[in-house]
This record gives sequence, structure tokens and C-alpha cells, in this order.
Amino acid sequence: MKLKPTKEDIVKGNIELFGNKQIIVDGCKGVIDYNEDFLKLDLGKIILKVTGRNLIIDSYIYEQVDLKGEIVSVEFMN
Amino acid sequence: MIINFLRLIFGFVEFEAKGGFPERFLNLCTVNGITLWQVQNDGVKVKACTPIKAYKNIKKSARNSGMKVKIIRKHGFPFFIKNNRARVGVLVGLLFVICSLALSTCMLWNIEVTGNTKIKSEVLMESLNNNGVRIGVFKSKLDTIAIENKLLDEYKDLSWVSINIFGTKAVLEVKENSEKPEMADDITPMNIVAKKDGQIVLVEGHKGANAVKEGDVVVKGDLLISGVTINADGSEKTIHATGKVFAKTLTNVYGECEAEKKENVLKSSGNKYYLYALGGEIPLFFKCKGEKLYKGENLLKSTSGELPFGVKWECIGEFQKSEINFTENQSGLLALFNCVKEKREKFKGECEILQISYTKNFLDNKTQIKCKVSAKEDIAEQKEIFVE
Repeated sequence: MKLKPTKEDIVKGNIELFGNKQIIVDGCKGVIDYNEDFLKLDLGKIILKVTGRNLIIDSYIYEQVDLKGEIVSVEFMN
Repeated sequence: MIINFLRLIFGFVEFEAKGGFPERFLNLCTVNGITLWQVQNDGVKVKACTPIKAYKNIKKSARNSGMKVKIIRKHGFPFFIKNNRARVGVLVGLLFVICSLALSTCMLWNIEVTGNTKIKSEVLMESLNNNGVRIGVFKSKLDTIAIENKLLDEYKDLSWVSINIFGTKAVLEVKENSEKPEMADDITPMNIVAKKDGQIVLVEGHKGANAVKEGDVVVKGDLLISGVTINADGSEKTIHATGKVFAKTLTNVYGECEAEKKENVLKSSGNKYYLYALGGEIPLFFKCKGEKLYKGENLLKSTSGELPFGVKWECIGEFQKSEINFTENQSGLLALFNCVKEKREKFKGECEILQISYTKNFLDNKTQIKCKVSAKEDIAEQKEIFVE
């Protein structure tokens, strides 16, 4: 079992969560799935799944997604 | 906030995309450098906003993702201009208002003078006006230090002058010199004599020897309080006599009025209106003849005072020489009016009118009023004692 993550394991980019109302994801390679209740983002090696209600992509530009709405959960999937 | 404002300035479109693959559409847009915001996917269609230029390139991304795009609404200044291009006047007017507002804020709107007590504000305002500080002048053109020095040279009573400009308001702050008080002359030998005939009622001698007592009758020039006093050793000393001497006097006042008079009579009058803005006046009339009678102004007001915008007017009138015939009563009244005017001038200061009686005569087309005024007044007058 690896305790210390290698450089390759670290996801490039940042994720900022502002309460449960806004999440900003940097280093997004693309949108996999999106509707009002959830958003799946491709972050390269992993997939980020944000679930919630009334989710709106406030801006999507240069690999940066700014998502607003009522966020319920944030999951990382392989 | 700033981003939203810039988006409105450059314009943006709100569009919807249906069918196909919304996620692929979003990814292709980002790959092609198309900025999207306010993206909403309700499962049937995707709604989003994008700049005008980006929308022109969005069709390729939509085609590749099998979606059809349609504009819902256009926002921003470029669309406003486009929609209102037929209303050129409105746009020109808007531009004119913006330009004139920007220009007028570079000018002086108000001038205020503070700190003056001896020199009147109107006089200082006139000087400021002569030196170029007037409403409507550009603030940048004012050399305040040079004007301050000129004002100091012009008014010797001023010890300090400062012109401060706050926004569109110029405030002239001044400090005046404090003059040394005049020394009261109580050395020159003086007598107090009567300036009118009368019967003495009260003698209030402050300094000197009383020469009269209550009940005495005096004529003009009689000595009332003497400035020459006698010492205990019998020698004489001259002093500056002061005091008040009240006497019951009888004064005749006359007033007259001719029954026929040639006078300039107002034939017609009217107002000349001017539109006033920042010191400039635009006449709202073509030609007006006549003499200026009075003028007025009606300026816009704000919480901080009057604004240099409004309407000014001058009342003008045309006069004609004509003969006026007064009845006996009318000329009598006018004569009485003249009489009262003269009486007021004669009985100024400390006096009490005891009795007034009138007599009226109408002679040679002229009404004469003779008014006898009995009063209690101060008849004391200082007269210098000449010592060789």
C-alpha cells in the first residue's frame, strides 16, 4: 500500500468550494455529463462528480468551470 | 459587477441549443475558445450566453455535436444602437447630454465668499469676476495664486486670501485686518451749546458746569454746559464738557405739491427673458425697446444651494411725458407726504414727539402744508473753546 502519493497521482489543477453554493474547478479536460442535478467533469486521470440542485455553469473557459447552485456532494471517480 | 458591465458594453447573446450532445457541444466550444456563461441544461435544451463575436463561430461546434442553436435574446449597447439607429436624434441628444455633463463638470458652478465683515461680498465677487473667476470659467485656466496676490494688493484691509476649489465650487476665504480703535477726543476744550430754541426740560451734565436749569428758555447758540470750571483757588480751567440737555422745542416743517405736474408716465411695460446656463445668457426675444426697470432670476436649486441654470428676466418699460392734474385733495395728500418725509429726517435719534398740528393752504395752483411739531429732544451741541 502506497502511503505517499507520487507526482503522477496528484490531479493537475485546483478545486475550490465556496460553502455549498459554488465550486470552481481548474484543469478540466471536458464535460462528460451535465444536467440540473449533477455534473461530471473529466480531470484527466479521475472524474469529478458534483451532485446538487439547480446547477448552472456560470462560466466555462480555458479549462476552468465555475459551477453555481445548491451542491449536495462532490465525488471522485476512477 | 465590472465583468457584467463590460459584457453589456460589448454586447452578448443569450441562446439555446437543442438535440444532439450538449456535453460535446460545451467541450467543443471551450476547445474553439468560445466563452460561455450562465450555462443551464434542463435535459431538453441548453441555455447559455456568449459574446457577439463568439456566437458567429458557435455554429461549427453546434454542427459537430448535432445541436441546433437559436438566439433567445440580444443584450448590450451594440444592439441598443442598432435597434435605435432610426432615432438618430435621440442618440445625438444622449451623446450631447453626456458630453455637456462631462464638459460642465470642468467649469465653475458656484462662487462663495467667506470670512469678510468689513468688505462686502458683492465687492469681492466683482473683483473675482474682473480677475477671471466667474461662473462658467474652466477650472484648469484659473491661476489661483496670482489672483490671491492681486486681491491682496487691491484690498489693503485684507491680511490673508485663499481661493479653494471644491469640485465645481470656488470658495474665497479672506481674513481682514483688525483696525486700531479711534481714540475718543476728551482733551480739546469744549462747551455745550443749544442747537435749537426751546424750553429746558432735563439737564444731564456729565462733565462741565451746568449753565442752565429746568424751565429756562434758550435760543440757538446759548451756552448750556460750560467747559470752563473754577478751581478752589479761584483759577479757571478748561475741560471737554459732555452731557445731554433735553428741551421742549417747536419746529415748523413744510411740504408742498403743485396741482399740475409734467412727469414721465409709464406707457407700456414687458419682460425680456434670457436662458441662463453657466454664466452665459441666451436671449429669448428678438427686439425690445424701453428702459430697464428691474431684473430678476429663477434658478434651479439643489440641496447645496442654487445651480447656475435657469431663467433670468428684465422688466422694461416705455415712458411718456404727460401732464398730470391733481385734485386739491390729491395734491394735499402728496404735500402731506412730503411734509412727513421731511419731519422724519429732522427728528432722528433721541426725541419724543409731543404734539403735531397741520395747516393747509391752496395758493397759486399749489398746495402747501405747514406742520408744527412740538417735541422733547436733545438740543446739546459741542462747540470748541478757542484759547489763545
